[in-house]
Amino acid sequence: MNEGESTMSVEIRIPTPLRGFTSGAAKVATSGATVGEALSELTRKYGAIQRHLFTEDGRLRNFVIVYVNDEDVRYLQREATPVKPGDVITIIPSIAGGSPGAVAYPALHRSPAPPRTATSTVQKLSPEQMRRYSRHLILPEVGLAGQRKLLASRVLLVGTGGLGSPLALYLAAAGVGTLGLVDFDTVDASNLQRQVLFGTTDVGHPKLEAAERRIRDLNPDVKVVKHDVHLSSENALDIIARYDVVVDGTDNFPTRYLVNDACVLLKKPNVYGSIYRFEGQVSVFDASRGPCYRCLYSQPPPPGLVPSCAEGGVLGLLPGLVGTLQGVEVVKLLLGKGEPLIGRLLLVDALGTTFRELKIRKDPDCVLCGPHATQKSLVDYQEFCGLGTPTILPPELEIEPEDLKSLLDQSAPITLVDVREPGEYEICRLPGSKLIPRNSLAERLGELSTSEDVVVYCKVGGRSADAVKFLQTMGFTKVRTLKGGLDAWAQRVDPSMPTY
Amino acid sequence: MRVLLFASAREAAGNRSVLRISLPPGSTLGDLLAGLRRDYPGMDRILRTARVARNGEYVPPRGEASPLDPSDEIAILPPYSGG
Repeated sequence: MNEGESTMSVEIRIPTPLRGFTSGAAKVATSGATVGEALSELTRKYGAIQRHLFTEDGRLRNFVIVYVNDEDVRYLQREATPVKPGDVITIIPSIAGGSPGAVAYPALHRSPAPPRTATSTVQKLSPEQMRRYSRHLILPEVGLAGQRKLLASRVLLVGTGGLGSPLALYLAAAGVGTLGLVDFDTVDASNLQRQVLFGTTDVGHPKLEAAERRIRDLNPDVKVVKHDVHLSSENALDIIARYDVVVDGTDNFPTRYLVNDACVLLKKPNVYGSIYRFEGQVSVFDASRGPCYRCLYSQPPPPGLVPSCAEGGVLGLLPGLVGTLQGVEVVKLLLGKGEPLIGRLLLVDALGTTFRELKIRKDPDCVLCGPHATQKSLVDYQEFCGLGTPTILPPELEIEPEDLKSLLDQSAPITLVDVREPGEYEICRLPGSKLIPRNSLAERLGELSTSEDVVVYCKVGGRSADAVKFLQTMGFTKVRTLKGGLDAWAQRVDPSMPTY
Repeated sequence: MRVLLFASAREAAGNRSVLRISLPPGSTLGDLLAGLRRDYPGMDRILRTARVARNGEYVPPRGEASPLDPSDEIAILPPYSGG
């Protein structure tokens, strides 16, 4: 892993349970030529750590695992493993948390005592709250003061979908006092594969009402503020101004740029997460301390280039992973503890189970947060993302589902072109149709003839209208789009067709 | 050098997440990207909005003229907005 900075020493990374013996230091610089020498230097500096790392006869304890860079020294030369300046030695603790079982090495857990707070402040949490938050209260990084901070905090979740679900659940459980939720949707059966905030009985009901019920049951300390609106340039500043931290869990580019811009203008941290099939990105954009989303991606992709979750699919567990990482960042920001993901982009790849981190810097030319910023207010984000005017076709370029049905029943010579993605095609399709995804149409134009009578369709009619416009420019004269797409077909012509 | 592909860039290269590419000495990042555009038809549209990182660090805009080293690891990161 490239650290991007050269050091002339060997760095030892100290795990949290051992920092009580290093005066809280997370990294200690040493100058040894082997792992053993570097660790001896550490124990000379911090004597109390000695017995936690070494046995009485000076050997590394068998539950202490030591890595040099990304290699376990047990498979190298153990304590004799050579190290050179710039190498990183990591001590990996065995953490047994997660269930009420035994801890791996109780001696370590006994030592760094949490700071005791005066009885007067203790009384500010009720006995029920003391019990509910006890695992937080005994963490030195949270404690009573931290828990009271969380209870007084206000967090806005933009979108209560795949990412918003674990965020809402865990932040509520953690005792974040006020959760603002922005969503105007109702729960759909296709949400349940990943949106764990909702249950089967919630299908058809407004998401915000279902979310409020679930959160109230999970933790009555949490106040839910429902913003039953489409976040827009007109309302975003007013809504976001009322919160301490904003979490971007939305599913479209216009809202991502809107959330970013509003957060930069209001100087609010924006905890970003995004998912695609098996991949995810997480970062914290706080323009006063680092880059913003526009420093990373100054321009959105053209509409239709990047499939949404509905079009491209997404592993249901992935938003659980990515949303939970965002939640961890939120709590750290609220507590003022740890090292937030500012200036770093975490890339999660669930298929390969890899986590990569990239450095992102402030773009000196960023129109929003750079030194010569030109944008001082919100803009029209539909237009910015090239979505200003959805493709509207004249009526002669559209065909109603019923009319297509009767043409097909008469065996009229029609070429049916399905411009969705292969996975969508597998769920349902019109018999005899040819699959050419919208993004491959230009390359596969040779498979169609301009003299054919072509009807293009997709799920709801957006991609097919765009495809018809494109085919017209390529010389097709008898091309039409199925109005309302397969959703309309399933509703009005063939109710047995599966929808998704 | 190793080229790591993410999201739609991965699909444009036939679902491969890692490419190993050798270029003549003195080749630049721009040369590498031009080669990807040539070899994979869908890549051009993707590279217009993707960000490129080199050895774990984002390449600043206009950084395509910088010469590459065979040990470099290049990552192509298209934006995506799922949630």
